[in-house]
Amino acid sequence: MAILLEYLFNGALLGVIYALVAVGFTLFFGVLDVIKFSHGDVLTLGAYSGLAAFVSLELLGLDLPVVSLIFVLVVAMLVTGLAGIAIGQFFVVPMRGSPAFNILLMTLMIGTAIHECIRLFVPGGANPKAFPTLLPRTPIEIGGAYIRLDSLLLLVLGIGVIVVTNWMVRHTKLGLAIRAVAQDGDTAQIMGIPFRRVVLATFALGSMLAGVAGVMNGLYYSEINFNVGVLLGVIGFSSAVVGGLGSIWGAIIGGFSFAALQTVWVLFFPEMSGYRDVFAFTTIIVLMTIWPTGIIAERYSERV
Amino acid sequence: MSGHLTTDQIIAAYGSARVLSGVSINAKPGAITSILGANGAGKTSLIRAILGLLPTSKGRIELDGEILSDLSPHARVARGLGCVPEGRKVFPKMTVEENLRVGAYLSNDKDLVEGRLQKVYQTFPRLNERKQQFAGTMSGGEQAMVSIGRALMSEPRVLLIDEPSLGLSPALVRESFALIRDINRSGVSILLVEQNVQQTLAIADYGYVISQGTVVAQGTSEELQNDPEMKKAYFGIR
Ligand SMILES: Nc1ncnc2c1ncn2[C@@H]1O[C@H](COP(=O)(O)OP(=O)(O)O)[C@@H](O)[C@H]1O
Ligand SMILES: [Mg+2]
Repeated sequence: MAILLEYLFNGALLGVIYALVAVGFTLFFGVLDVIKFSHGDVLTLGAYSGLAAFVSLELLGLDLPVVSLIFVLVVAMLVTGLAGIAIGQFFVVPMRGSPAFNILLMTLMIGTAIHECIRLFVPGGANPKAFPTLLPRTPIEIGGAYIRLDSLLLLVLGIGVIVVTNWMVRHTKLGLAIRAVAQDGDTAQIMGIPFRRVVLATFALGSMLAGVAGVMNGLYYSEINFNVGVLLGVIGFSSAVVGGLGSIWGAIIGGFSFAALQTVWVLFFPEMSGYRDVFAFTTIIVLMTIWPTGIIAERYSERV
Repeated sequence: MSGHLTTDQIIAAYGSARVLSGVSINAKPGAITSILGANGAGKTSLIRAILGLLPTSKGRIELDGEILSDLSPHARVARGLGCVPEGRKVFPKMTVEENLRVGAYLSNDKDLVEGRLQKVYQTFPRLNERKQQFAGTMSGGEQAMVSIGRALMSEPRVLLIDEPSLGLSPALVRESFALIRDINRSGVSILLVEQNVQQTLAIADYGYVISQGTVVAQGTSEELQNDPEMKKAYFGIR
């Protein structure tokens, strides 16, 4: 029972990280009908900028746990947000109207360039980097199970970020504009909505979520490497597709489902835990052939 | 009086297929100006060109003396254009009220937006009853109300209306024409694209007949009634 709770908890934490990535894919697809394959590598960029922020704090001799965490998160979100805007402004928006394949390939190349630059320019970039411990690791007992305090805080943080994002999209003027552009770009423009600015704001928002996910992932595993975004990108994209690509709730459910599949595998075959991704992807491939439009078909979901 | 929209010899194409070959119209302040023509004549393209959704390669579009031609669509709307697009184009997965609020996107004054919202609800009590319903689940007539109400939320000086009566029952068509006249009487200039020739001529002050992307006839409603070009263009008789 206790062990089950621990698995459930770790699964939930992974689910939140995947959901953060998946919501980005869904937002980008919503406003511009594009798949931005550089998304995972933007996450990596976020993780490394967070690390760089921490290192500079250390150099300055500052060591305040909570402040450090906030600073690391803010820097990661700033860098990923700007990266999202730049990729949108200089590559994706100008390519609007060209075949989807071209945009897909282009963003894939941008992503590869990003993580290769990290590998080459970061000192020792080809090797994994230790990610700092910014939260207390005190074990807490919940119903006989031991859960690390930092993991609990990360879960709360991730859920908080998702709730705030969803609230923004539902209840703010920017959110209204994002939904209008997602549902009908031309009509949105003749309502006075500045199309390009809203698209870029959406790119910034989605990329900032990847920044948070990158830092969370680093904190959870205590290490990052230049390749971390590749797998997380594919997982986030799969989660978004499972959720129907276009609905925020779908992406969130997709993210948690992927983590659930991994967790179930590890729970039943602990000595073959390395195969958890193979199992999760295989299951999703099967699900996709059964429900080609996603588990939550778009007609039941609210587009972005 | 403001709300004077003119196009001067505008030319536009979809790729290499030209749809507007030098169209000049003059929608006078406070008037209802109609654009008539058969299917595929280029009426919707003209509206899209005025709004900036279809780029023009030549010619000039002016609103109250200000040149709009180089502005993006949202900037043109900010200058006072409003639109009820062809097919109504409500945002299907937004509620009625959200649709209306998108219409007031450019206004940051909360009280002003609330005031306009109440005004639209007064005009369309039906929308007030259904404000939390998704617009996509409403009937054609109700969606027409949403689309018109949404356009009114920006209090435009010139309202472009593209085939509002498309797919509506005869009773609703009559109602929509009466409504357009009321909006016009409240001081909004109107550029009206319609297929319903008789009812359009009945409310319009002036009209243009378009065929294959050019103006082939123009005049007051009486003049157009008897214009042979008009019948030719309209019914495609050559
Ligand atoms: N998006 C488009 N791409 C290519 N051609 C178009 C497009 N929209 C309209 N057309 C063509 O432009 C011409 C004028 O269309 P339109 O302006 O919609 O006419 P109307 O509104 O008078 O029925 C038609 O021949 C139509 O086929
Ligand atoms: Mg038309």
